[in-house]
Amino acid sequence: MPIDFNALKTPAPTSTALTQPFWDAAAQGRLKIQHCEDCGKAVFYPRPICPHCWGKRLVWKEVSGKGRLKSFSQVHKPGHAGWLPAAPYVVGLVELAEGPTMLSFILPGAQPPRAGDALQLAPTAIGGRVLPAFKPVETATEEEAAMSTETKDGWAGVVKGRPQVGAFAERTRRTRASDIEAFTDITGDRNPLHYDRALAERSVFGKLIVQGGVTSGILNALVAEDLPGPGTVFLEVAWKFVKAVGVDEEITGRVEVKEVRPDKPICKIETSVRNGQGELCLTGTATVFTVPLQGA
Amino acid sequence: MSRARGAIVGIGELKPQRLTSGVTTLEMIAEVSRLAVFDAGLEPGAIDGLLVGPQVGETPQHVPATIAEYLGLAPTMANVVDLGGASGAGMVWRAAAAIEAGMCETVLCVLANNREEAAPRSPNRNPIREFDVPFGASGANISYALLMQAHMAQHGSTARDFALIAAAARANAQLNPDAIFFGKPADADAVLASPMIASPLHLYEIVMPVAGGEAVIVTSAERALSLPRRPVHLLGAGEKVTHRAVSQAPSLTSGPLKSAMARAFAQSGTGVKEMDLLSLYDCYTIMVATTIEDAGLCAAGAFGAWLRDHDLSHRGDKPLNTHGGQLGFGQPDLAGGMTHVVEAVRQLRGDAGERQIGKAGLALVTGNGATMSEATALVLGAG
Ligand SMILES: [Zn+2]
Repeated sequence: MPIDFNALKTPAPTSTALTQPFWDAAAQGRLKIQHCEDCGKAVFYPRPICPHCWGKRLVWKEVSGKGRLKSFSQVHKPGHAGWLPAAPYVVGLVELAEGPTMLSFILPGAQPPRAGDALQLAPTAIGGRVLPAFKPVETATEEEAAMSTETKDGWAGVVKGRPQVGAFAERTRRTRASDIEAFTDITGDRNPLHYDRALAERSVFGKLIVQGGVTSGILNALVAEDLPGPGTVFLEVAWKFVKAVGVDEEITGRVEVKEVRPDKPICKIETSVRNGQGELCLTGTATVFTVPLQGA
Repeated sequence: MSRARGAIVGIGELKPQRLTSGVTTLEMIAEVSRLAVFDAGLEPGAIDGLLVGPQVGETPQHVPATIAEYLGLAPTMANVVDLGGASGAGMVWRAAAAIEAGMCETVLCVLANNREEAAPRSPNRNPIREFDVPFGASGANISYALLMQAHMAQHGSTARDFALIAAAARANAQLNPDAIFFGKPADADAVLASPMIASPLHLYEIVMPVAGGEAVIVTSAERALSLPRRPVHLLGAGEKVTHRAVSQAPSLTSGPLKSAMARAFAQSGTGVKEMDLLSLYDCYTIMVATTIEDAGLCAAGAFGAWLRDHDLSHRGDKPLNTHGGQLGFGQPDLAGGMTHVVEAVRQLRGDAGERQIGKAGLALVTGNGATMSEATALVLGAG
């Protein structure tokens, strides 16, 4: 017998005047979150100031209702007795298309949940109130599936196959003095900031730094080795170098797939490189093309 | 290797208990403080610094003053450290810093808790209560299950990989008669056969909450020379706090301990491969997995293979949580994090008895609070 979630005696939200618009929208089956007019970022959960820029010009906007399941758990032993009749049930971390992540209740789909699943807002009455729950976007109907097999798969022959939107990969390495020499060998760049320690230490950087190409180079390795994988080349990049990287520093590159073209092995990715302290050193986006190497 | 930034010269530990009755937290703090001060060969009057945890029993405010009065101390530095499971390690660094700043000379760092049947839960009115609890997510189990599931999805790690961590903790606890799971080993099959609490997290991968207490005495490296115990030096430390709720975590598969450990290694002039003991915070198996990877012991996602390549017992090549960890010893609330400090001190002094590791020069201690949110790392060295 299906569970009547609305009959559960689950804890109610503890709203304040500041957060009330979120719950008012929820009661109407809508999901509204704050957006910062100063830095343009979406904000969840509601705050009096933007956690990204500390601006105060926060406005409520309805979101698309689209999201991606970052992770989930099927709860067998709930932390609150009010949920016992519903167990096991699924909660998940939903990365909203607008950026922020929220925790939500995940309604059952035809298949068990999987990280990376596309989700759609599914307002659900739980414990006497409507909450912004989510449900999986079911895979195409059989008819649609039959049609889609007729259209050409742009990713055929790609070693690691077609990447999923939201997939990401990370790679870490430590910079070395020999990186600077190797890069000079390739490019002829003998900038004293990379060689003259005394001068570099007096500069704004305060230390010897590696060439930007050494920093961004980790992203070449990421796309070619991990995601989308072997055969991948950059078509276009838009990178900001926001913090210099020194010698003998650990750097971690990250790429995340944002858009995937179905007809061609081309995708748009978000790229970043952080240092050992987690500070952003490089940030931006790129478009990559993955040469189909299988059967080539 | 760098100079000592302070020294741990005394330790105290209460045997964990499932439940207490008619004992207050203040009473337990007094018991464990006494053990630590006497272990250091000090008189109570020598304590002029006091670091305590938040919300001691029924005392939500004025906690240091309440405890100082109760213990008959008049510290010249007194403070609350509120970093969840990182509080113990966080206290050690703060104690050394306060001593270097001239605030005091010898600091008592103490955490304890009673555990009454049907104890009232603290009334939370924070974003987690408002935005997680109504959706069915109450408590840490679900948060760590979400981290574990994310690791499995991203790296293909298996339930058995994680079970190996709990099994190793239980195995090490068989050499610690104080451990709550002493006499109760559990191999990986038993871990996997234990009830599913919140997928993919099994019961045996979760710490058992217990009553208990832990205390350490920190003083300057110079002062330590005049005391009877072989000192254990603080060589380096690092800390980072990134979020509170799991939904706000910057990453689900790597945590703030990564940069905290990097800083502790840099400050101490050491590296993870030089550590003779890994005393890693283990509220859940996933926490150890992530810490092994964030420490650089293996590549991201490769902890399962790393576990199979190494022996984590006191006789092994990579002794890890030789007291049984909290997974084997029990978790006395916030004092649970301090068990990792106390065990490291025992090992580096050469006082660990039957479970003494061979070479005991350097130890990595980690603390972790909330949902992989609050992180402190210490590098300790035998004096
Ligand atoms: Zn902003």
